[in-house]
Amino acid sequence: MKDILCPTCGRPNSDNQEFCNYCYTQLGPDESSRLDDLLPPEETPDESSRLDDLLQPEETPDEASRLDDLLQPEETPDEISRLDDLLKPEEIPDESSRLDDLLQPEETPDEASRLDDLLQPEESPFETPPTDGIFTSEEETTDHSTMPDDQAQPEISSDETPPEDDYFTAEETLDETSPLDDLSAPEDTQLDSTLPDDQALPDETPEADLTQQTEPLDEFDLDQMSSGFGEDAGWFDMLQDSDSTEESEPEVVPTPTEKKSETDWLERIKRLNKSGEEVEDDSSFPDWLSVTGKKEQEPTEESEETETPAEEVPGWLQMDEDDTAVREFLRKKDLTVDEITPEIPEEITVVAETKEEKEPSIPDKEKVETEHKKFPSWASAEDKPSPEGIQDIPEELQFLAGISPDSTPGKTVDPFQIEEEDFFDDLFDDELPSWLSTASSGDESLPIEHEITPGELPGWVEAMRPVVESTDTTGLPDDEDYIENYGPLAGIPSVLPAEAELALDPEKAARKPLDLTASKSHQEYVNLLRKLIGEESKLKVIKKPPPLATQRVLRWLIAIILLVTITGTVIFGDSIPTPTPTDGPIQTSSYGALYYQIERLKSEQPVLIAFDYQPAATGEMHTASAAVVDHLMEQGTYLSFVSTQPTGPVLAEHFLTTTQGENAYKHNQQYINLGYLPGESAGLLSFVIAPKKIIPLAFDGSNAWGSPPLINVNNIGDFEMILVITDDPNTAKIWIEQVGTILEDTPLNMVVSAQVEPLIQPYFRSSPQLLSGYVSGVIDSMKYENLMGQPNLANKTWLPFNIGIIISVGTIFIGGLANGVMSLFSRHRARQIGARL
Amino acid sequence: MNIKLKAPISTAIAIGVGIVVLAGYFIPSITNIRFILLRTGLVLAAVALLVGIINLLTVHIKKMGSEGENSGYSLILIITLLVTLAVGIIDMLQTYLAGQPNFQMTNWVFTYIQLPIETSMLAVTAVSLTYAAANILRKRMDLFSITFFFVILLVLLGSFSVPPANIPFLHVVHDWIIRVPALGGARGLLLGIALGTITTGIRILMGTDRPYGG
Amino acid sequence: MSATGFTGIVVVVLFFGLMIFFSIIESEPKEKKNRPIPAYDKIIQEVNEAVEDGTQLHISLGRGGITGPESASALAGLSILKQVIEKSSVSDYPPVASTGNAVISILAQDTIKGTFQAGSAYDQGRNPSGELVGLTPFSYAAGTLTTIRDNNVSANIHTGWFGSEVTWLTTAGERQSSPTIAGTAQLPAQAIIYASASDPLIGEELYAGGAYLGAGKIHLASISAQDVFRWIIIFIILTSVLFNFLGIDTFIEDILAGSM
Repeated sequence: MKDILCPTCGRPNSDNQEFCNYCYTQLGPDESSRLDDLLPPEETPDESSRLDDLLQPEETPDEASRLDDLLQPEETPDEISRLDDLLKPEEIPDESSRLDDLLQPEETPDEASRLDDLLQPEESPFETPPTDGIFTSEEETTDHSTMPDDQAQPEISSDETPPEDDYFTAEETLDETSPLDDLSAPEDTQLDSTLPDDQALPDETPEADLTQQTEPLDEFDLDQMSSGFGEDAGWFDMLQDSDSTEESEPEVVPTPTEKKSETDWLERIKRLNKSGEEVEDDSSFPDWLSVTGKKEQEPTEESEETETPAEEVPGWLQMDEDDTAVREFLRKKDLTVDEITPEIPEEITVVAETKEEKEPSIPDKEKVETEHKKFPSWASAEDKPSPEGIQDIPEELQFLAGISPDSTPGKTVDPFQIEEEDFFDDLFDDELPSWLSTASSGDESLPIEHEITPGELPGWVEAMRPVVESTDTTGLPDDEDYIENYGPLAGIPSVLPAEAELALDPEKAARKPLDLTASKSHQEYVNLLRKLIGEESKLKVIKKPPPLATQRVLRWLIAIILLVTITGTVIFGDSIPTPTPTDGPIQTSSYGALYYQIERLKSEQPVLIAFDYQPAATGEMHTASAAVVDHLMEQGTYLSFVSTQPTGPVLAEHFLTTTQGENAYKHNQQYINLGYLPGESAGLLSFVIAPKKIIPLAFDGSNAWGSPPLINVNNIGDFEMILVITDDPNTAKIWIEQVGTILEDTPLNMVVSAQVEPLIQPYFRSSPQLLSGYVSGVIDSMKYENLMGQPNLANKTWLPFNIGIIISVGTIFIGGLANGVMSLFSRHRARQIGARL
Repeated sequence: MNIKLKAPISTAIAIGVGIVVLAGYFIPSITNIRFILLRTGLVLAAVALLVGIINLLTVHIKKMGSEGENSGYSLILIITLLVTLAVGIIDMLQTYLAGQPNFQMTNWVFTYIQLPIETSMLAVTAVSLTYAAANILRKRMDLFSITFFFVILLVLLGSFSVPPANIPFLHVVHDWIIRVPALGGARGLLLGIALGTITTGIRILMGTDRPYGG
Repeated sequence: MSATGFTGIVVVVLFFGLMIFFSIIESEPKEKKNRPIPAYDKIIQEVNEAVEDGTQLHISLGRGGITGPESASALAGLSILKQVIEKSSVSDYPPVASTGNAVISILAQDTIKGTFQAGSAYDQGRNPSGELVGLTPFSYAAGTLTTIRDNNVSANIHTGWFGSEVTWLTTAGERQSSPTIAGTAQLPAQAIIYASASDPLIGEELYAGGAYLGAGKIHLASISAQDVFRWIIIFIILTSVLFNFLGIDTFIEDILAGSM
């Protein structure tokens, strides 16, 4: 037995051990190392240079040569072989046979059968041996079971999926579907998202016997596509199956018509990519298909292409080794060209020449030899692109090679038109294709090993981990398995269902056992969040400052006392002698001034009385004005009633009926009711300016201005006196300011409520005097009646009025003091409580 | 489109009419124009009263249709409104037909329904005011409220003429309060209100305040 | 033109100029420090709480018309109504308005509709109606009581023209344990409001609603113009008292009368 040194820890292990006893590192060569072994460094093709050609063709002088280079057998990597599969197979229904015919006609069926494995639909990616078994025997693949394909992770969404992934996705789902079909399927899906439906799949359907092959394309959906994302390295696996050699025998030779119809998708791609803006705008379009539009190739050329030998394989797929743009891009990505260069198995190149001649530098020679025998010879091609290579390219693929229909053979157009360098960044920033990431993680033999952390899988192997396994890291139980059916993750099982989780009860969701390692601070945050969520569902009573509760007892007490005392006084008050209020000199008093003015009035002189009070104030206003109006009637004056209140006319009639019934004034003979004057102050002003125009008719519809009370009145100044009865200080003010300022010789007097007196008093005492006299409330009315010597309503209500005042004062005083003391106590108590807190 | 047209037009009308009426107070030569506008305003105010009544009716019809707790009151309001309107129309017809004023039914409704109700409400207002005056120290125990409280008492006692509260000194205090501090305070308030009224009117004239929906 | 007319024109023009002047120089109105008025702070607080609680504010605009001096208080009430509706436009239950005057009722409905349309939240079936609840003071008060007693009304704002009937409104608010902000231009009603409302607006504070509720720069400029005129009036009053005390007033009157 021979000890094997662990590449990680350097300790010796027996050669029959697969893993290091000390660090559990895989002792066998990993994918990168084996690939490196397969392909000696000196023979490793410059994969990045080919990428340069692919991605920055503007620096490539001859596209045809690059195509040839791409198909150079010794340099054709696995990626390039995939490119072959991507770009060629639509020409031939049977991909394997077509590829064999195209690339290596002389190749034995073994190689062809390996390519046929690509088309094995029954091959599940989960059953596929490790990718490194591509070039080894199946026995060897068991040695590398540590990296099964079923552990691949779905790192790439449908939007991010590079064409290779799409290709393999379709590959798994379609029987007898050519790689081009596989390629076209996801692309069509992407195109469907950007193209009208009428331009999509229907054109994809080939005619005749290609129908069966293309039908799955039509049925292809996102689920199928996404389900294959996890198997992005499936093309490796498929290359292992040698049992399908016979199945991959070329059986059908496609007719030109069929080929043409099958390549309609490429035509649409070309049309879509006529302009760079379209390519940029269409984010769903595969980046690698970003090409300039080219005229569709003739089917006849394609048929010729199918017969093109391997030596004539177009070299446009080959990348230039000195493509500086890609190098610059990789430099930005902190990668070297070698890092991104996928390991090109040496077998590819060697087998292309001859199986016996090649001597792979892999650890297990036997296995390698087996692989060498199986490796297709189509990869063998000329190193240098020939000018004829352009002609060898199928016409429908020439646009990919940058060949313009109207261009000269030597004049090429960039097949992979990249608009700007930033596009590279966007392209590869977070969405690095798996094959590229694989290349970046394990290209060269020894240096790569140092770059891979012990115990860590290479990135490209990680990319191969199956979807199901990847979600196990979430810790979700098996019963939580969920297959996404919408969006970019459609078809992928065990993804976190965002919508469903959002609809879940947060508390229930929080109880899911997650195998997460949470620190103490995280737990605190979780608890805090749980507490916040829990409190959200609880009803929280906002504590307002307690409003001042109404004192219903005090309210009822006040009401009862006032009602009882005043009612009793009204009933029994007549028997109680009441002294009259004392006052100053009558001549200077307001009621005295009014009294003497009325005394000077003569019979049939017109007097305007405004009933401008509310029905609610009837009690006070009738009492206050009864003596004054009675005095006017005693003088024999003609009375005209007007009101700026809607209820005024009725109040006037009611007043005459209830208080002046003894005078028996008759309507339209001794008094006239002009009714309601709308417009408040504006209406009053208008009435003052032109009374006949504003109120042409009386309250009853009769001709007011033809009646005796108004027969001699043409304007407001023709009235001998204006008397306003109001309980509203504003109304009193309006009359004074709007009318009193206009009146010249006509005195303006008022009977007002007691509450109005403070406001009208200045008009009476000012000079010039806008208000000639007034009676305020019950008190002035009492004095006025006494002056007249005719007790009236005021004298009747004087005692109840005084009793009511006494009760009110007593109640206010007692209640106020009590409330004041209570307020002080409550404040003191509140301060004490506040001090304790 | 309507809004764009409506706003400038209504604003221009409001500003124009306001300026003319205001200038009519100071410039006698445009009194006639001002008078025409005022008369138009009076008609519109009367129509607005009718519109308001219709609005009142429609609102309570809607309330009556709903299942609110106050829908019964709305029904009573609608019935009384229609009855009063019918009574007024009948009285008007009788007056025109007889050639003599005949508002007996209207007076009856006013005298025996509206007047007692409103008078009673004012009487209850006296109770509420008494309660409010007694309660003011509970609401706000500050210098102004205490002053307010005692001024109420003094003014009420000053208007009292029944023994034994018929004290001449209280009458003098009452008169002094009415004529000096109350009048001064009222004047000050009125001046402030007048200034506020002027600014409000100017804002309307400037079009910055547009309560008319412009 | 009479001296009164000339004085009136001068006052109006001066006011106009001052308002324009202050609206220009006060570029940052929010930085202006106005005298705090607790009632307006309370309105803002109640608006916020109503939005949070899902309750309504009730705004009664009084019974003042548009054709008299009381129109200013009615328009001030409309301005406050507009601001309150704007501030509570995000609420599920916008404010409800009631009026006691037909013209103000129409204007209130117009203001409500315009404000909600400006906020793109107009819903005729849901928004306040600005209805006319009564034509006389106490019928208006009685009609408003049903709105105040609505359990969903969290606060009452009475801004407009009121008489002594306002005590019905304030007392009803107190019974509902809801705060009452009230202001009017009628002096007897002011006394009642001071005694019965939880947050009274005294005097010209009613007209400052737009400035304190964020209606715009011109409202703040109005306050500044009022302050200027207030100082002018104070100066005139003090000068008149001084002249009267010195006996110069009769001298000036004689000059003006041309008797000298």
